[in-house]
Amino acid sequence: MLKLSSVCYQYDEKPLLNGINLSVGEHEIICLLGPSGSGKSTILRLIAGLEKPQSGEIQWNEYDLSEVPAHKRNFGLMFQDYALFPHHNVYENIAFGLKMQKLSKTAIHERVELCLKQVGMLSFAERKITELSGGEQQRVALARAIAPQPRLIMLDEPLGALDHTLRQTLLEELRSILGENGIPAIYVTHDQEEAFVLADKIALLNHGIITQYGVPDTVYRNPESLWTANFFGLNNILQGEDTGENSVRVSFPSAEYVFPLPLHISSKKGQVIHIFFQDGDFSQDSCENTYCLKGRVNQNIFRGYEYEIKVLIEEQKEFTFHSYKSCPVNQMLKIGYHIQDLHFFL
Amino acid sequence: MRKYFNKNHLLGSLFFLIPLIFLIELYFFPLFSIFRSAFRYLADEITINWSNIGHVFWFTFWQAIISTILTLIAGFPTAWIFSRFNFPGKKIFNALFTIPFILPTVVTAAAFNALLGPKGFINMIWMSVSGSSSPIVQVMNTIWIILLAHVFYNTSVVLRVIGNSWTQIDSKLEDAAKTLGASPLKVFSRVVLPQLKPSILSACLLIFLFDFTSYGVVFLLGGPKFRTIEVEIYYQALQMLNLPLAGILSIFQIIITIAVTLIDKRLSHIILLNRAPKIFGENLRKPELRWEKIVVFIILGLQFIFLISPILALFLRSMYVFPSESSRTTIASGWTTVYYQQLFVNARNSIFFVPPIKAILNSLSIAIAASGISLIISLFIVVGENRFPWTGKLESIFMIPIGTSAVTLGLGYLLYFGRDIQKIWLIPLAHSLIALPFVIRSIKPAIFNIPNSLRQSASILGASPVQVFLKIDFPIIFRGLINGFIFAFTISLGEFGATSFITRPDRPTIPIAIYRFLGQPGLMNYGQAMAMASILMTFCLTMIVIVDQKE
Repeated sequence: MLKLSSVCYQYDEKPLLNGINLSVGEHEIICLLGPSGSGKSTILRLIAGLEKPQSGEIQWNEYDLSEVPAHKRNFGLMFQDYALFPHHNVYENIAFGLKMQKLSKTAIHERVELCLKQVGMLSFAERKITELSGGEQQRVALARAIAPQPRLIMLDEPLGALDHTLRQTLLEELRSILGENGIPAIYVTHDQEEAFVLADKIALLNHGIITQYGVPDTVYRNPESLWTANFFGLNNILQGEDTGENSVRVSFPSAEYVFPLPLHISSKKGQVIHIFFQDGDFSQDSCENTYCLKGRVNQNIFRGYEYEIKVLIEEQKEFTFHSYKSCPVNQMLKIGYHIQDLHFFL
Repeated sequence: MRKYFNKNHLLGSLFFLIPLIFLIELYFFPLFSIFRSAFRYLADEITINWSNIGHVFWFTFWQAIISTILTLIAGFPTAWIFSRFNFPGKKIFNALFTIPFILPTVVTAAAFNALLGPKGFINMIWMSVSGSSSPIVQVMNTIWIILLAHVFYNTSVVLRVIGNSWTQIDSKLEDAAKTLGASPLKVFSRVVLPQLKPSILSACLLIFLFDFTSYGVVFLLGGPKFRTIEVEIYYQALQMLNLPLAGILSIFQIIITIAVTLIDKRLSHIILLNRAPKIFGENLRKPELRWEKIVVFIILGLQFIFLISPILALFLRSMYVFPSESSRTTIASGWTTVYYQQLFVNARNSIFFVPPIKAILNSLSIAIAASGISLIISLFIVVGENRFPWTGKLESIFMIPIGTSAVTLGLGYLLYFGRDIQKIWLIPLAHSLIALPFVIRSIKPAIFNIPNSLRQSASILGASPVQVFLKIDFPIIFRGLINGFIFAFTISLGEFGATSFITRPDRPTIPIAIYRFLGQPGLMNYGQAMAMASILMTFCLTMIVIVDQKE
């Protein structure tokens, strides 16, 4: 069980990580999600022991790792550009970690064959690294990382360099391989789709701290900040004002809406409040137990598996919906929301 | 139309004719004289002292091997810190560490003398401090000074060749190895070293070749006891007057040089695909941990002391008289310019017939003449090659002289020119031949960067070929011409090997003068040697700075 406590790190005298708290349990795949440059790779390097944090603790099973050098930690790391050894072939690359563990030749052979089979590259053992395609290199890199049976495996945007279709295939393979081996894993990416497919838990990294942490479903559906909502590309957001009477007023030229402000939001009168409208039901006509927004269908885009419908709320703000059914353009709609579908943040 | 074509054809031939004649007269014919003399010697079955030759051969070989190994060991740590760390003054250090490589051999000899010789700084300071009258450092005329000087010269090859290759090795590979359980030692031996092997081999071959063909250092610092093949050629030719034997040795030298060059070419075919880091300088970082800073400081410091102290010693020695020395002569002790002043004086028992300053003037005029000739010849070659497609590959034959040592050249002149050896035009011509390949290399990139369309548009606008050259080519290649001239000038100033064969007693060049001064006893001679060597060194350093300005 890995635990990071208040880990801080500076790069070139500029603060990068400002108190990271993270834990990874047995058999868990944690996804570190965040924009480029947010320090995700740095966190991996700190855990691996390739860098030293300025402050904070990294513990494995309650044991402080700060004096343990990288080569003794037994944490696997799969690099963004694979970092395969060019002077070794596929077999030797995968066997490298096993050689360092001083295993016998037969033991190494068995293990390498097993790993090659897992990644589906059994016939590639004698190949030179330079002869491999991107996807093949990625698989060898993965095999090399899991071969020495590390206690934890970290993957740094492993699918970044690949094209879309390849990414999809490998994503699913990754999930099954990681699951099979049962090794806890930290997966770093800026692509939310990868995160959703793979992760048991997602940790959102922004401005040097973990801003939100939880099961993918919850994190996606309950963003706790405007930044998070924007990061996920959720733009069904309206901006309103605190009325001072525990409610938020959203004003349009043609209409005005008032929503009750939840108690956990501390704000003053006049403060700008953002409301994220989750899901939304536009199949009903009446607005009895719900809050209704009125809008007009602006675009109706067929995506194959669903329709993407863009609705202009009060002719001002465009919301995006997904539906099996098509909605003709310019149709007027009423979209209903329950109170639990509304998420407020500053 | 046909007439026009023929006229151009002729013009093209003329462009190449002159350089070709130059090359044949000054290189191939002398070379053939060596072969002819040697074969005639062998054919006459005069008994050759093969064991002596074997002895010389063996010495040349093992001192080159040991020098190479020592150079590798000495330069490796510095190559490491240059490839992995960024530190203040890195560029300056880089330039400083390259200086030894470009110094003429006489300057190096004088510099080491000034530092480690019996009258050198270390000994003089020791003697005045401890009061003893025998020097503590006695490396002159031993194998150690030769090895030391070789390491001094060739360290920059290690820095450039191996250092360059090392920066290309992605440090992420080292990180990957660490996460796979490799200790720092294993990371080096299993990941870094295998990728460095080609460049290490390449550097070693180059350094071996330099040390194998070493002449000036062995001759001037080792003394008569140590004979490499080149030195033996000199002795056989000029002291034993056994020209044919010298010829045989020359041939051996040429064969070895070709063999090593071929091996090097073979090895460079083994290309190990290193991943170049995505961003240049990605592998470099400031030393952060305390031990890193200490190590970098120590390595840099030691390297600096080793490479710069001889040079400093030379400068300082030429301007300082120790009290113990002053007591035996009429010169006051302390800082002085008396040695420099003496250069202008034609002393009665001087080993020259003229004041030494004349040697400086000789060298300068020879250098100007040689550079001019070199420049013109190379222009002919490069211009001719560029315009007329069938002359393309001919340029390579002008590069061949690089493969033969200056000593061999000198011997060839001795054999071929016979009585004309004392003629005044021979030395400038010899120097211009030696400098030719380097001048061609300086001009060539510049002239080939000129697109033909530029010339063609000028022609269409009415410019004659001469005008095209003057108005289009010339301004563009001007910088290349300057560099080429400076290169040739520096080479000519410092040339010792060939010149030692064809020099006249009344027309010394600077290197010859230094050599003569060093060989004579007496404080004044010693001091003047230091002074002249300092002057020569200053010339060379200035030239290099001028060339580097353009970079």
